[in-house]
Amino acid sequence: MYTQQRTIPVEPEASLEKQDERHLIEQAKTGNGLAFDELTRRYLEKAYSLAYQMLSHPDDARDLVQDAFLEVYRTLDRFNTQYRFSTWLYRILINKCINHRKRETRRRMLSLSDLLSHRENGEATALSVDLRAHPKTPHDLLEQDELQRAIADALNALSERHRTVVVLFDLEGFSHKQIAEILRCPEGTVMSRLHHGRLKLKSLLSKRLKGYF
Amino acid sequence: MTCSHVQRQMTLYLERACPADEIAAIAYHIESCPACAGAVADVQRVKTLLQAVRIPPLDPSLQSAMMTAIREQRARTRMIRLSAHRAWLGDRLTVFHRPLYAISAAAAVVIAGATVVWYLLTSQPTTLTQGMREGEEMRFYLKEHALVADQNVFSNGAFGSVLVSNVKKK
Repeated sequence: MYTQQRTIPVEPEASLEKQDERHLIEQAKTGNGLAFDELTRRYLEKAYSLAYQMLSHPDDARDLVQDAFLEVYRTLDRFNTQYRFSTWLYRILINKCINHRKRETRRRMLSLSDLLSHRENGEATALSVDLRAHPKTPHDLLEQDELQRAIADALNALSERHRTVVVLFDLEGFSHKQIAEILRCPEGTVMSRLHHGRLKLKSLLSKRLKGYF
Repeated sequence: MTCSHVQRQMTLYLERACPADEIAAIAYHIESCPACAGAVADVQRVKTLLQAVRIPPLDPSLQSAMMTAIREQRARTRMIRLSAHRAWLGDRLTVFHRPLYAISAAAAVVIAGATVVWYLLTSQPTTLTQGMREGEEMRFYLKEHALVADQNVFSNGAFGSVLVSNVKKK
C-alpha cells in the first residue's frame, strides 16, 4: 500500500530545546521538583547576571533571583506554554529589580547618612570593565577603576526605563524584539529608550571621563 | 537628509535597524557633516564602553547555594499550601463535631443507601409489549384475531400492524 511521506522542515536544535523545555514545564506543573530544578539550573546564571547588572549589588541580585524563581514556581499553573519561559522569567525578575530599586531610592532619600556612607564605600563599583586591549600599568589600573565607577554611577543615574533597556540591550545582549516582549512594549519604544539612554549616558560619562569624549 | 533626522535615527543607524537605503543616506550625510559624525562617534563610544563591561561568571558554590535556597523555599511554599488546604478542609469538617449534625448526616446517608437498594431490588425490566398485554384494548384485539385468523390468511399481518401502531401510540 502506498503511503505518502511528507518531509516537515524542522530546526533540530531549536525545536528540540523548545520541546524539551515545554515538557519540563508541563512536568513541573504536575509537581515534579526535578523538572523545576532543571529549569532553574538552565536560567539561573543568566537571571543572576541580569539582576546583578540591574542592581549593581551581588547580595540583592541573589535575593531577587531567588524571589523571582519562587514566584515562577507559585504561578506556574497560570503560565501558557505557547510563550517563552525565559521571557516570562525575565519579566518577573526585571519588575522585581525595578521595584527594589525604587524602594531603595526611597529609603536612601530618607536617610542622608546612609547615602553618604554608600558613596564613601563605593558600593556602585560592582561592575568591572574588561579593557584587555590596554596594557595594565598602575596608571591604567587606576584609570580602569575610575572607569568602572563612572559607568556604574552613570547607569545608576539613568531612569528605570532607560536603564532597563540599556542593560538588556548593551550589557546582556538581548535583541530589540526580545526586550519588547519582556517589557511588553513596541520595538519602536525600545529603540527610542535605548537612544535616549545612551545620549544620557554619554552626557553623564563625558563629565567624568574627559579623555574618552 | 537633515541633521535632526540623523540625530533621531542615530541608534537605528548604529544597530542597522533601519532600511538599507536609509543607512546609506545617513552614512553619506555623516561623511559631509562633522557635527553628526561626532555625535554618532560619541554614541558609538558609549556603546563600546558598555560592551566592554563584563561581570564575573556565577561562582559554582554560589550557584549551588542559590539552587538549594530556591529548593528549600519551594518546599516551604508547598508545605504552606498543604497546611492551608488542610485548614480549609478542617474548617468545613468541624460542622460534624456537633452530634446533631453528625447524626443527621449519618441518617441521610443511610436513607439514601436504603432507597437505592430498595429500588434495585423491586424494579423489574419492562418489555415493550408488556403494557399492551395487560390492557383491555389488547384483549379485544386478541379475541378479534382468534375469530378472523381461520378465515383470512392476511390476518396475522394485519394483527402485527395493529400491534405496531398500538406501540407507536403508547
